[in-house]
Amino acid sequence: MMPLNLFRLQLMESVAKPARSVVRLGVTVLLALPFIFVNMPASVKASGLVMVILFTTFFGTAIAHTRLCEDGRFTRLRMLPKSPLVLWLDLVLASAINRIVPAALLLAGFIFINCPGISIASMIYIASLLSTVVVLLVSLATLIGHIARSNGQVHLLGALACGIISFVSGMIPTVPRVASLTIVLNVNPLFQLQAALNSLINGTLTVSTTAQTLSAAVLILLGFGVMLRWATGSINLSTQKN
Amino acid sequence: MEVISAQHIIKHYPTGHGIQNISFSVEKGQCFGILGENGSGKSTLARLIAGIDRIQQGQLTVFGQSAFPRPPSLRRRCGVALDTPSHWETLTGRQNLAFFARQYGLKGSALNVRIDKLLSEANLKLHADHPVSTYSFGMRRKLNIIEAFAHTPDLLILDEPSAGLDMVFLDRMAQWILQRSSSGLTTWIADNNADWLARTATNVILLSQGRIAAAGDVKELMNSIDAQYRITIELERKVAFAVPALPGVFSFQRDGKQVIAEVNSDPHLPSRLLGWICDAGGQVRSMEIRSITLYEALRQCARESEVAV
Repeated sequence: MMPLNLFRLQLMESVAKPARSVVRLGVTVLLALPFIFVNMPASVKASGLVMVILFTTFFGTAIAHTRLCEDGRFTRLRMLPKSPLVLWLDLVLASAINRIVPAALLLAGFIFINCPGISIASMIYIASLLSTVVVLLVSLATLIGHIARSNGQVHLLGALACGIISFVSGMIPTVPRVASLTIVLNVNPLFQLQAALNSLINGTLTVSTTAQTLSAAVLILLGFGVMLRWATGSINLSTQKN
Repeated sequence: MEVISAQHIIKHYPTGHGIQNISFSVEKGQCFGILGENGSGKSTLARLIAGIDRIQQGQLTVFGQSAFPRPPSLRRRCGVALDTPSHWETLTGRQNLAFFARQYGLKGSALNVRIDKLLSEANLKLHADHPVSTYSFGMRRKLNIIEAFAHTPDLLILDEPSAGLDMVFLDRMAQWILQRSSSGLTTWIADNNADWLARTATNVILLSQGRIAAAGDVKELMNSIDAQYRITIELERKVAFAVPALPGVFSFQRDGKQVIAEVNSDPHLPSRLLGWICDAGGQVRSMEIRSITLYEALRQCARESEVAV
């Protein structure tokens, strides 16, 4: 199989070494095990799981992007006759797929053990929230990975960024809620995912029709984007030279 | 037609290296060579022309357009191989090459034919379907270079292309570059291998500490210099010589038991020099005569221009 565009290239590289994928999944599962199996309050389980998704997605993406810049591959990508937007979208989409797979498996295991009677509507809602969270985190992590100039810097910046995200997502229980934070939480998909999981464990999750429609739209859009970039070659934005 | 035009360009780094106010132009079909010591600014210049970095002062254009930032249409006309090969290591050489060739518009059977031809000519066909992580440094360099050649760019920029490569591939690359020049395609090479560059380049610049020390057409340069040959004489023991007052000897260096002289094309001069050394008490163990290299010619020009100043 030939990589026709950057999206395919990145995905092909990530599956070329199965051991790497196994390690990625293994680390995520290992970190999340206590929140899946140990008996603890629903809110702690939900925020713990979201925290694992946040840390594994953010650090994995940011470190991978810094490596891409450090070894000169990003410089080569910059020289390609492609729009920077297309390159960034391909990078983000490919990283998002790489990170969604372990997070989705983790979430499936969590739901299977803690809330087996989940409805289809709730499942779609949770899946769309997870997709949104991962895409947003990957975008931000790619940016941080780009700013950082070394492995050391990316770890430092990543830790800072994760701390800030945890704070604005209401995942630090000791911090008293401030009014402005509440406004942020309403539009914060990370908090929404955490709240949805919490409600799911307590058996109180209700998904409105609007939320159902939006969730389905998000999943269709993402699925369409993935299929489009996988199936098509590179989008030629400039005239082809003979 | 001017392909690259640099007018008083300056690029400083915090470390002090960079480019210090240089101007030159590269015409269509030329193979433009840049020689210079490590840290002289060759790679900096390559990155500026490739559109990776931005100049701080002056004007740099490629095909009449600003070198940085450059639109995709301009990037499509360029092929770049930097000094450090970088690939998607877990993928094969063929997959890496296919990706880069595809981005420049090659597709279908034309893409496959081109890939096979390049891999075969670079002697990489046997390893084409192995991951790049299993490649040696030289193989990675070859792959990097054929990726830049793949779409037959109007302007090819090569930084240190001869580093780590075998003689067979260097010969092949020289042929490709000569073919490019005869087809009206432009090549820009920064390298330290003056002998190889002399075979491929039509024009050359010697960079020294970010400045142009000497420049010119390779053939004219080689014909214009006074000293055409370099004689290296090994002595049995160290002898304190004065500089010989022989006409046709342009430089005379003593280093322990070794004497190096740069002389003109007078066929009697080597024997005259030997006679002079013997008269001065030297016992000759061996003598080697060779033509002046392009690098030495440029150094000579640089020295002459310094004297003229």
